[in-house]
Amino acid sequence: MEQEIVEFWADSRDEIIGKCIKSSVNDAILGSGEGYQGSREIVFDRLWSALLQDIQGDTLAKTGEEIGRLAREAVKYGRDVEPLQRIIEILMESAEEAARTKYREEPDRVSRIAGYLEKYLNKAMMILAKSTVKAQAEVIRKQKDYLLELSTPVIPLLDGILVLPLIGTIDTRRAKQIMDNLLSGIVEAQADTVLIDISGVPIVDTQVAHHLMKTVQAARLLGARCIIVGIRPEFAQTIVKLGIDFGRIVTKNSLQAGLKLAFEWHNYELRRVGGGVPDATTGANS
Amino acid sequence: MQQQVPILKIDDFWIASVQGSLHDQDVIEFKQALLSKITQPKSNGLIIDLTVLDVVDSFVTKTLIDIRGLAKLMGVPVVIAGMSPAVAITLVEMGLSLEGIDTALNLQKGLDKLRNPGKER
Repeated sequence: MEQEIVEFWADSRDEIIGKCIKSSVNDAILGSGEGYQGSREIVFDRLWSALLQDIQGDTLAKTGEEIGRLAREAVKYGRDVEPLQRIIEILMESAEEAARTKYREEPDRVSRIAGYLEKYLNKAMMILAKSTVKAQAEVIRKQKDYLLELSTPVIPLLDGILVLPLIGTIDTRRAKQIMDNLLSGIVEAQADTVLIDISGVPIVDTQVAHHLMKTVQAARLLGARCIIVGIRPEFAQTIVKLGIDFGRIVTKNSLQAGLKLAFEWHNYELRRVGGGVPDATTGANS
Repeated sequence: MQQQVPILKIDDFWIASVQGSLHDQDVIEFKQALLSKITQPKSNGLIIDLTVLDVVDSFVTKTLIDIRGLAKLMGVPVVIAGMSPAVAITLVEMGLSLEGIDTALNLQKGLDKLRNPGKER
């Protein structure tokens, strides 16, 4: 039985692949670009040889690898994976057709081979589904990491003053990242004062408030003072309603007010020298 | 018995630089040594430098709070300097924020704080 199918598969390479190429698959399904690495012949040839090895060894390792690679590429380039399913189907259909032509006189043999192919088709589809989900999960994980990297900048504003603008929802994972970034930023810049701007945080609940307090306390332990700025009315209401005690944490309503206080602590003075704002077009003072 | 933590004097200020992690016994000895130093005349401040310390346990933390309380009784201000982010995170996670203890980023800033106590809030 095994021998039979191996023999058939190895012998009818040209018929199977020829049928596949002639079948209704067009470039739109296979993709004509770099994604599938060349022409459809290569795609079918690789699948064919992978299946040949797998049928010999009665496994699905090679085919799985090949399908996984195709699925990963499709997901990476944002293409639909449905055509891949079609490709596998076409390969199996073509094989069945080739068997029918080849063993016209032996219907038993044809049906045995067809049954075998059917089994492989099902398994291959399963692998395709699994690989697609895996590839997508991988993409999502990567994007999450990029997002985290982007989302917590610590900006040195002046000698000894840092600004930490927080934008977007804060969850536990992000709060940890924020704390780590801020603390290492403080040590690196040897900064005394940190302005934490939370005007870009849409929802402030007990969790977020708790994380904020922890961050402020940790910064204080290093020897830096925090000013929380950009507290919106809703946030203030939440804090009061939830009965959270912000204790000795300094808060200001706007970044400007916080900056003013930070300047005071550092004995900076901000004043305008000369006339008004320079004209943007000429660069001269108006 | 070799002293684990050198306690040095600059001007009127005592500086204790903790080197590496301390066993409980070392911590107790360190506390005793510190107390005998700051009871001497011309002790106007104490800085505990934790720059090289990367691990703290609850006993060390408790001792720090004790030292601060005892020093306060003697009228000596205490500043903890150079705590690392890892230690700070550990303390906050343990729920110990060392309320009331002054902190500084480094030894220099700690000394500045002791010299100009009025400047701070």
